Amino acid sequence: MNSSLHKKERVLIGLFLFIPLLLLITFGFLPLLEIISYSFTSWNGISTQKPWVGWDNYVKILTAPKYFQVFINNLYYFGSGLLQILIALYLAIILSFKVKFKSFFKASIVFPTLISGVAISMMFRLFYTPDGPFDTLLTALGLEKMIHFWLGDPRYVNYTLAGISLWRHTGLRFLMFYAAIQTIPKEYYQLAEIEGATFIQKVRYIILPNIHTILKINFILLTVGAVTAFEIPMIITNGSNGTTTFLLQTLKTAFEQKQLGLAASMAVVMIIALVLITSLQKKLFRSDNHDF
Amino acid sequence: MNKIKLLLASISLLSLAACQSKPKVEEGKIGGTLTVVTSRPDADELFEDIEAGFKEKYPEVEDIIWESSSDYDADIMKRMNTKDYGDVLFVPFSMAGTPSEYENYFYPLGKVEDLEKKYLDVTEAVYNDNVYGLPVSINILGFVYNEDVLKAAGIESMPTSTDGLLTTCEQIESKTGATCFYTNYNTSLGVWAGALSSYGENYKEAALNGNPFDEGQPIREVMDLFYQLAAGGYIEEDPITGDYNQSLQLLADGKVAMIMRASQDLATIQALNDSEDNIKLAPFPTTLNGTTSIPVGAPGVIGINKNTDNLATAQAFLEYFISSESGYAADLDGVPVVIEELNDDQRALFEDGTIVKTASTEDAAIQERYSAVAGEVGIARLTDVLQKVINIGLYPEQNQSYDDYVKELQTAWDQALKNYE
Repeated sequence: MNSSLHKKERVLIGLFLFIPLLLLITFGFLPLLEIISYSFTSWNGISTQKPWVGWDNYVKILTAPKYFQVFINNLYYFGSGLLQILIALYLAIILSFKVKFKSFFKASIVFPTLISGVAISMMFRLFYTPDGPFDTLLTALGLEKMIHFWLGDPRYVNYTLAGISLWRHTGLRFLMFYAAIQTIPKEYYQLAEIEGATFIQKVRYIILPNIHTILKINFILLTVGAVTAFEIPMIITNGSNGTTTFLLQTLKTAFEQKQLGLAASMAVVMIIALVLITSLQKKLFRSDNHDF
Repeated sequence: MNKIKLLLASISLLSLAACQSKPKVEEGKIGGTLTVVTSRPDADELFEDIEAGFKEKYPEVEDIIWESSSDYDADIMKRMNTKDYGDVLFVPFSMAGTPSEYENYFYPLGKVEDLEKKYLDVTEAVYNDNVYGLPVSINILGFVYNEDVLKAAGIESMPTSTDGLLTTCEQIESKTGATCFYTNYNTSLGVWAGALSSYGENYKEAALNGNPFDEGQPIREVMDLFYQLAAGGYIEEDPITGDYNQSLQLLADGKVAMIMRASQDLATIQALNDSEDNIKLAPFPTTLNGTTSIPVGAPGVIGINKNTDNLATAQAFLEYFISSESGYAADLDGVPVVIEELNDDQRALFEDGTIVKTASTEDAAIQERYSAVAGEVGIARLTDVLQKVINIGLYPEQNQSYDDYVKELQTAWDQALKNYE
């Protein structure tokens, strides 16, 4: 194959690949190598010396349960991610058929992904203040008994945060599903119509089989997102009240406790875990080659 | 093909042009361009005035480039891995834990014994008797309180002990219905690290020789204070939804009796209500050697990049910036740093002897070991610990008990001491 390419073509391909590869190496692989080399030191982030400590950092992480305990909190975001996929898929299917005020609905679903983190933290702190908008809403619905300190009470705070995460990230998944559904040729539907297919049958035999690549990608993104969840708890609770996630703990170890070496090894452990999980997922998906 | 080559060549030329360096100034001469990096993104107008004043004094100076960031410490620490972090910049407070690193990044401004004749509080950034940064202003930390609320509750003066504070709070809450103490859970708990020197001198050395979580030790005292306030219900109802600006308004309106802030905030809060002078500052509710002490510290410390190629101008600018000419200290309602410029009241305050410095003056080796140990235990900043303590106070059933938490910290501290012998 390669030998049949003209020299000119190969040069052209090389030139096209040059910039993406350069970016990938500079921002993808070099930092990774740097992190791995930091993870064997006890660097404090400012010192000119980076004392070599060998495997000490890894031993510390893998032997002390406190570093892994916080993974329980990541499960809330996993649950939230599953719901996100279901809701986004549902909305994307509904909106790809004839619906009134289609653009309005699409805009309001995608809108939350566009708001910046700082604005979200301010918004939701205000939203959940005692006697604030949310409590007023509950009172109006006659649900006064349900009122809690949504962000303060350790019993509810993780659900609240997972809910905010749902609100924030559903839009992006919706966009992916919606775009995928738009690529399905109109003829399929027309044919289905002639054959007298119901709505459910159209979904089952036309839409789902045609977007299953996007579905797979979303399940991989789901695990990656759940393991690396940190933004919502960081901006809203600073990880207090038992809301710390693994990545948030890594960030604090690095930039507040100034243990960059230790934090780097936590990051490496996370990367390894992610690679393992996603390759496992890929294997699972590959084995089911037939359509839905 | 040639077109592509041309394109690539022009791109690389463009990027080279972008990193063109500043024109060099003759050594020892004041002039040229200066880059100043600060932690105040809100002070553009003030900086314009300072720039105008400085240019008037030294007409040779062409331009001052101001760069600011709100998450200053994190941003500047990353930037300091390069050589390009401004000519004059605020010294990040996170470096206070590792004084031996100052000399790798900052130009020495002089010896302590020489500078202290001219300036106040020169030991904010010191290593081996060399000063690497001078305070931009001196401010007092303490409880900012609304005197009207205290009067309404029948209280004459601010308490001087934790127990006294609890009684005061009890009275305020039962008689006026105001919230006694607004914690500012989301924004200001870290400031309490500056209060520790009020609760005990040389506390870092004491912590390394013993345990900072034993009763009576500064950190434990502050933790106890927060635990008791939270458990007694004397703080805001739901601290996590609190808002800093709102707390100032509540204090001015008398719906909150006190918050922990510094003297630079007094004028701002006073301006929020009609009364003349009901907003006042009191020392922390604790006594040191029998008297209350006044913790003074710098809201910012300014130094010179050791890689600067415009040293003379940088030095002149630093001197100008900390003098009262620049108006920076006045903007913060702080005491100017130059001793000659103090007025009588300010002089009296500093000669009185009840001053404690918030910046640690302990030996560099002790400070560095303390930082390493405290980092491992997770108390290098007090924010996380105090948030947890408040949460335990508010939700005792959903958390481990306060005693268990203290024990856990004690064990962690002992372990960390062994790790950094």
